[in-house]
Amino acid sequence: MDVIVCVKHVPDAETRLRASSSGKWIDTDGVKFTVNNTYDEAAAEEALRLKEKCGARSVRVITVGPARAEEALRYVLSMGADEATHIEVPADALLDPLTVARLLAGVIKTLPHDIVMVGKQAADDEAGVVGSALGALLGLPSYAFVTQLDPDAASKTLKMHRYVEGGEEHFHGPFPAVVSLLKGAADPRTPTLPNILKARKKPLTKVPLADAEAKARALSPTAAAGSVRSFLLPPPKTGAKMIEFQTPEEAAEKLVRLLREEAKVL
Amino acid sequence: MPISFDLTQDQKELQTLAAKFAREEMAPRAAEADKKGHFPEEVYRKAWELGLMNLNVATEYGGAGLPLLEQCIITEELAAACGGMTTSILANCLALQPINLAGTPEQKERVLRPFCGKYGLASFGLTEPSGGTDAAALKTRAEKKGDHYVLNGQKCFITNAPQASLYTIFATLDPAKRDKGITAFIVPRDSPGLSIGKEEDKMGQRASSTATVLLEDVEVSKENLLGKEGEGFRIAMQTLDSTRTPIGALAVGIARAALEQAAKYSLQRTSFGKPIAQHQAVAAKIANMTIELEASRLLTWRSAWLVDQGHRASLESSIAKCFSSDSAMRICDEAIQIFGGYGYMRDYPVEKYLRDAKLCQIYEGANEIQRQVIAREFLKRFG
Amino acid sequence: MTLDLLVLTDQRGGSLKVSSLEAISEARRLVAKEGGGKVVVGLLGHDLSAAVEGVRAFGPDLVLVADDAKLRAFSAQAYSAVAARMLERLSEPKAVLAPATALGRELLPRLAVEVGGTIAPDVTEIAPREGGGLVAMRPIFGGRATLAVDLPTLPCLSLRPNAFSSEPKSNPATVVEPFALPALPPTAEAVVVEKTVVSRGDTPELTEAPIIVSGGRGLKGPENFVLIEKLAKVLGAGIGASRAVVDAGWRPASEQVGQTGKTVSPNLYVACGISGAIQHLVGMSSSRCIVAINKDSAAPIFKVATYGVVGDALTILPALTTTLAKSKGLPVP
Repeated sequence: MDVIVCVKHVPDAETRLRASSSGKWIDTDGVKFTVNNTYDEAAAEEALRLKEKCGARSVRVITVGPARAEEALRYVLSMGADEATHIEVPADALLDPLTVARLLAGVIKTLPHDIVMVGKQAADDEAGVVGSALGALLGLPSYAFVTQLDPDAASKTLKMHRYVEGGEEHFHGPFPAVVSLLKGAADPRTPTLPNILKARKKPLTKVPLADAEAKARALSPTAAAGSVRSFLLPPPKTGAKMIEFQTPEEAAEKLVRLLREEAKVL
Repeated sequence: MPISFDLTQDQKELQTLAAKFAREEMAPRAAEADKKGHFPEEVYRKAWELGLMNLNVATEYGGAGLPLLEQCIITEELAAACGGMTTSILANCLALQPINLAGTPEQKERVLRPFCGKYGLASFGLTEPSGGTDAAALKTRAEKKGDHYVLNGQKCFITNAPQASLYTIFATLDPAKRDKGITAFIVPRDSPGLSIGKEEDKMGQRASSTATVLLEDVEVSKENLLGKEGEGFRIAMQTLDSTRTPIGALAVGIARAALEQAAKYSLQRTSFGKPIAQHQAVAAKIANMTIELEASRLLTWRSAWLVDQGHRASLESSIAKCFSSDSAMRICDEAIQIFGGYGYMRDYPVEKYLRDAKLCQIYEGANEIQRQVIAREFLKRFG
Repeated sequence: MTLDLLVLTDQRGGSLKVSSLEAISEARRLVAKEGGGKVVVGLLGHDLSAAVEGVRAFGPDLVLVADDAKLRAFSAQAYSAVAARMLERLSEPKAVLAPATALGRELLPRLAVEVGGTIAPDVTEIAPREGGGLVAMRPIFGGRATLAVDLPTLPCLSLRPNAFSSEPKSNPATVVEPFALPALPPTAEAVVVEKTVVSRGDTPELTEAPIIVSGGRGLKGPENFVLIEKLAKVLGAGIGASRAVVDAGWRPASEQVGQTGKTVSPNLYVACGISGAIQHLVGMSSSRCIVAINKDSAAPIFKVATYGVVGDALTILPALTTTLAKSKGLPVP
């Protein structure tokens, strides 16, 4: 069995967000990037557990990202993945999630794969698109919001749990498949110092963007994608909007309306 | 070789690993361990599991085999979470360094490999109740009796002593010979006659344990003699030469944590209608703290780099240790001042930084002796 | 020329999600803005008669009902295959809308790829785009920023629950049609749900909770925290506390928010009877929206709050809980 896990190199969770000069993304100058992308780390952990549980032949980690994203691949190699593939894009590339999925799918199609794992969503753009899109592009079933999975190699079936509003479904479905993980069965392991040094020697293949694009075109003739129009930060706080009221009920009603319609947090 | 301040990919990953361990395992336990003077063994065990202990032991004997610069990078990250725990982790490096330097391949195979192969702590036994700075005057006696030595005396302020399974002990075969009589030994914990005194109640670094090691007719076989008779002083000094720089890094870590806390607080806390960071008096403090921190780190890294290039770095390692620990005290002191009344309260971490930093001026060669070394080394150039 | 919208609803487990109705209402509003077009609702699942009645009350033009035992278990592959065929029924498909529930978020990327569309997940605002298509706003970085995305060709949008209002509308012209199930990929038919487990509704871990209701000294005693608990239950929120009440032993230390407690930045932080000492503010001031309820109008908490209510938390809280429970169709605790 071959497992592939897709990860994304993302800004550290504590990054202070500033708009870039193009106004379309954050200014990445001085920003610390990490693979500490909760969902991706969980996916990597689960991929490694699959290998340990079912004796998978290999775990390959793959990313689409600029040169710096190699760090994310090294991290997962240090966790225990066997090999890595890096689809390298320019540092300032703003890729639509569907474009990312197409690049990944083009390359994955040429690699052995029984289970393709992704995290529920990236920590930065939070799109959560790549998993299902990969399924469509690779012609495989896809399962999302998975919280537990257990493959049965003989019947090529995955027994899974997935999140649904208000609970969980226990279900099964066939593989090869793409699995998008909400959370794993175990906390992601921390790479040990000797494993970090060993990861150095593991194979890391770079795929030039043009190659990946050609492969993507072969798989998906259309390249429809959205594009970012603008990146917006909330205006600075200027003190509370005070709610005028006669009765507690009136205060409650006004507040709920504001939370729902203006702040949109309910 | 060109100078570069870019960390390599390996160095960055080690830094990330240490930072993650510090954030997830050390920081959440730091306040509690400090308050209760509790030795958080589970933290040290986890550090060993991740390969963060025994950094200076060669990989062939089960250590990490890291250059000193990498050790310093890791140390700073750990110390930013808890200085005391970092001292306990570093104490292994200190205790094992005499074996790295003077041990025979047979001794390394017999002692280092099994020690590094499982979780364990080690202690370096040089300091005595009558003094640590004048190490040549130590009083613990070693007597040769046939194929073994008998040790008598006591070693005090020994880090990890209560929990250690292995000690490197320095004793003299003849006090009249001063430094020429000092000899180094490997002493296992289960040696009859070795006992541990009361644990010290310290001002700071309270997550680390410190106690006296009592030696009463402790027999040490000649297989556990390190180097030759009378080489102990040189072994001790060489050991301290190579472990002094990480103390600089430890001080940098503590100071960095204090500075970061103070900076965040100064942007949050307002007085006279604006964040206190915008008041010149506070901004100047932050600036001075930043200057001292950056200088400390550079001195530390340079000293480590020199050692890694195979240079003798007595001057530079003394400067790094001395400047970084003195700066750390000033930085932590100013951090408390920026926090004002809150800074003086034990609920906030900044007063702990000050207490933890203080030890960096004292142990592994008090800053007074470091200054003596610095002056001596520098004056050599003029005559 | 009319532009038609397809709305895919979520009635997994049998009950139609409110957010599905929000998607239908938003589709109606978009059609009105664009000056005409049809709102076509696609219902996929099994035993859908109640869901059909549910969506009918929101006035779609056409309801396509793919009611089949093979669709009982949700499979993105199967649902996407059916939805793609439904889309063919629209004369001039402009966009596909679905609620950003687990089902909607899983289904739409797959559909977008299969029909050559574009996608924006979890959107909070939609506007027409000059030159065709739509522009969608969606929160990113945990709600700390927003992205405006241009979607030129067949936008597939999942709509964040509660971000759009639902408006019932009677439409006598609504046509309901059964939709014949196309052939499904064999792997899709092999997806089987064995059972559904209903969660016990535990309060979420504080640092991960999207909403936190927090209480301070203004609640006057530990017994009044039941008011906080009730509101938290209705909101699905975590419970926080100020240092003062933790020190007083009213609440466990695990709930403490602030410098010596936890640092949180939920989408919504409701501070009840908390004055806003600096050590509390540093732990929560990065929350996206802060509601402060306090008797003292000069309390520092109002400086960082988004909305302020000057009043006694003990009287405001029950009213708030009741209003919210009613608006969400939940029993008042």
